Amino acid sequence: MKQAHQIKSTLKKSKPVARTAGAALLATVATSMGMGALGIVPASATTHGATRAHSVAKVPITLWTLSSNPPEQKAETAAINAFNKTYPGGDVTVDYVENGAYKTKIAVAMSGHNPPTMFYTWGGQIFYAWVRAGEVMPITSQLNSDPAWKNAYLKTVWPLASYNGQIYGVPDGGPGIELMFANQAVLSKVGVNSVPTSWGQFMHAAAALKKAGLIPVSLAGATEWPEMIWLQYLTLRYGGPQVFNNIASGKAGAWNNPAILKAAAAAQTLAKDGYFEPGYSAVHWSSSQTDELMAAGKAGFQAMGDWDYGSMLNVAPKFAKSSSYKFATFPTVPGGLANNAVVGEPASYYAISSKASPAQKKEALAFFKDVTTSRAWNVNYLEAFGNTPDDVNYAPDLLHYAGGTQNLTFFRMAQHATYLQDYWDQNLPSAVVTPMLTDIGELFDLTMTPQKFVQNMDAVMAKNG
Amino acid sequence: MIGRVALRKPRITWWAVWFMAPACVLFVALVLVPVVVAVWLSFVKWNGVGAQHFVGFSNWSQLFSDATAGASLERTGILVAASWVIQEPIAIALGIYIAGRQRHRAVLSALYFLPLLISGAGIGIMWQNILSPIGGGVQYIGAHVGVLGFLNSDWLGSTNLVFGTVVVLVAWEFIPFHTLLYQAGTRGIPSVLYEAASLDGISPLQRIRYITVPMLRNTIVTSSTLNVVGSLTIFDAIYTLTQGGPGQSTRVFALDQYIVGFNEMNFGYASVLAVVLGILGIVISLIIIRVTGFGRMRSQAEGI
Repeated sequence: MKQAHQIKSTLKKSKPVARTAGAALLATVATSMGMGALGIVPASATTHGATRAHSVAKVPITLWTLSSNPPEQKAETAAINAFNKTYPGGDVTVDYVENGAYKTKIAVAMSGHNPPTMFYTWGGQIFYAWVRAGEVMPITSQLNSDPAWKNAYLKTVWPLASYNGQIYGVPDGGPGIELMFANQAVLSKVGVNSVPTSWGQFMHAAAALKKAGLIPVSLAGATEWPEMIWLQYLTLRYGGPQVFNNIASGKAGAWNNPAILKAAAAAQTLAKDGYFEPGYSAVHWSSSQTDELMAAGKAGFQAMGDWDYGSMLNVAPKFAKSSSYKFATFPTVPGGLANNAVVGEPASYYAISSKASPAQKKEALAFFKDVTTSRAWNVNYLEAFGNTPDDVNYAPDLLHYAGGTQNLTFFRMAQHATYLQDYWDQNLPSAVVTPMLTDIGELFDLTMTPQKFVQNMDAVMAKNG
Repeated sequence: MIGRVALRKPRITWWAVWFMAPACVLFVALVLVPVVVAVWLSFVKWNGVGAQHFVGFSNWSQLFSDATAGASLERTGILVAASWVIQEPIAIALGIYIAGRQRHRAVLSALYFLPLLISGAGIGIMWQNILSPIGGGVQYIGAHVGVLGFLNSDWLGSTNLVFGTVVVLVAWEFIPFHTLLYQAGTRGIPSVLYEAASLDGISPLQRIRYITVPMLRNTIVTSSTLNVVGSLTIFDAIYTLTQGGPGQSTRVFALDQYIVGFNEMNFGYASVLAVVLGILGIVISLIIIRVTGFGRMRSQAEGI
C-alpha cells in the first residue's frame, strides 16, 4: 500500500502481454525440447548463429507492478534494465498499472489462471486467496538456503507474505507508516508552534485554523482510504490492537465495539465542524490536490502515509524540502490503549506465479534477489523518491542523502514501533473491504451514523466471514 | 414450361447456410455463451480464483434482502425516467431544427455533436476535472462571476446534488445521438405532405404539430428504446466520474454489479445482478415495442 498511495499517473501503460506470453511459450518449448534448463541453445538455433556462438536465449518474464510518477518509473526501469544486461538470458519487461486498476487486473488474471510471471502484492487476505488456489510459488526453501539474502530484510516482513508456514513473497520496498503531516507555517499563523501530539491539542489547533479562515484538514474523501486512516488510527488509539484483531479473525459482532463507535464519532465531529476542505467528498488522492492545499499554505494538517513525502517532492519540491513541511505520530488520546502504536506495513511484496516455467522461475528468483538488494534499487531508486529501503543494510546510508533524514526517521519508526498494525483495507477479504470503504465514505459524508456503520459491517462480516 | 415454373419457386439451397455461419458463430460465442455462463455463475459461490461451489438458489434469495442492490435499482429507475423525460423532447426539437439545410444549422450541429465523439470514460474524467471542488473551472466561474454564483456548488461532493449532476451529464452525452436520429427521421418525411398542407394554409407550428411529429412516430419509438435500454445499462461515464460515490449516492444498478463482481470478488452474486439487468432490458424493450405497435412493421408512408 505504501507505493499504492503514491500514484500520480492514472495512465495505464500496458505492454502487449499476448506478445510476451507468446514469446514465453516459445522459450518454454525451446527449453522443454532439451536445449538446457537455462535456455542455452545450440548456435544454429539462434538467428545470428554464425556470429554469436553459445549465445544465451532470452527467457522473457513479465512483472506487473504499480505505476508511480514518471521519474520514479524511469529509475525503476533503469534498475530492471541493468538486471537484463547482467543476468544470462535476462529479459524482464514491466507493466505499470494504476493502483485501483491493478487490484482488478491482477484478480482477473488470477481467475483466468494466467497471472504474469512476477506480480506486486500487499500480502494479507487477498494474497492468501491466490495462495490457497495454488497460483503462487512458495519460496521458503530458496530464502532459507541463502541466509544473507533472507536477513537483508527486516524480520517483521515475513508474516504478511506467509501462509501455513510457507513464504510466498519478498519485499520490493521498505516499511510504510501513516503519520500526521502539517504545514508548520500555517500552524504558526494561529499560534501553534509544533505539530500537536494529543487529540485535544489537535482539535484546539483545528478550531483556531477554522476561525482564521484556513482549512484545518485536507482530505481526499473521494478516494475513501484517506478517510480510513483517521478512523483506523482513532480506533487503534481508543481500543488497542485487539479491536482489529477480533475483526480480522472473524469474531461475530467485532465491529460493534465502543472504540470504533468513539472513533467514528470523533471523525464525524471533524466533518460536522467543517474542518475538511469544501467539497472533500469529490477530491481524489491521485489528483494531488490535498498536497497542493498543504503546499499552498491553505491547509494545516493531513493524515497520510510516509509516501506523502515522495508525493510532495513531486508536487511541490520547494515546500517538501522546507522546514514548514512537518510530520508527527498520529495524536494520542486520553486513556488510549495504544498511544505508541503505529499503523503501517512492514513491506509490500513481489511474488512469482506457480504457472511459470522452471527457467522463468529461476530468472524471477534471481531478479528478486539481485534487484531488491541492490544499491541501484535501494538508494538510487527508493531513497531518491522518498521511500524507505527494503534492504536494512542501506538504512545507515540514508543520512548521506538530501531528504534521507526523513526517510531514516520513517524507517526507524516502523522498525521500532511497539506495535505495527496493518492497513484495514489490505488485511481483510475483498468482499469486506469494498463495502467497508463505501461505508466509511458515508460516515465522513455524514449520511451514515456510527451505530449504523458498525451494524452494517457486522452484517457484512457475518455474510462473508 | 414445367422447368420454368420450378425455377420460380423459392428454394433454400444448402450452401446458403454458409452465408449465415459467421453471424451465427459470433452470436453464439459472444452472446449466447456469456449469457449461459452468467446464468451458471449465478448458482455458484466463486471469488474469482479457486473452486466454484454450487450453492443452488442461495445467491438468488440474497437478492431480496439486499438493500444496496434495491437502492441502486431505484437509482437506475430514476435515471431511466429522467433521461427519457429530459433527452427526448430536447432531441426532437434539435433534430427538427438541424434537419433544415441552412448553413448556420450545419455549423451548430457540427459543434453540438462533439460530445458524441468522446468516449463515455473520457466524458467522466473530463467532467470530474471541470467540476472539481479544487481548481475546477465551474466552481471558479461561480465564485468570480456574480450572476453565475449558483455554479459555485459542490456538484460531485454533495450527496444531494451529485445524482442531478449525473443525470445532466448523461443527457449531455446522449442528446446528440438522439438528435441525429430525429434529424434523419425529419429529413425522411416526404415533402409532398408539406406541399399539400401549405396549399391549405398551415402555420409553421402546425406543420410540426400535425405533420413532423406524427411522422416521426417510429423514430420516437426507436430513440426511446435505445434511450431506456442505454440508461438502464450505463456504466462508463458514471464509473469514471464518481465511482458510484460519494458513499453510494450515484451507485446505479450496473455499477453495483461491477463493484460486487470485481471489487468484492463475489462473481456468483454479481451474475445474479447481471441476469436481472439483462432480463429487465429485454422485458422493457419488448413492452415498448408491444405498446407502440412497432413490431407490426407498418410503414407511415403508406398510400403516399
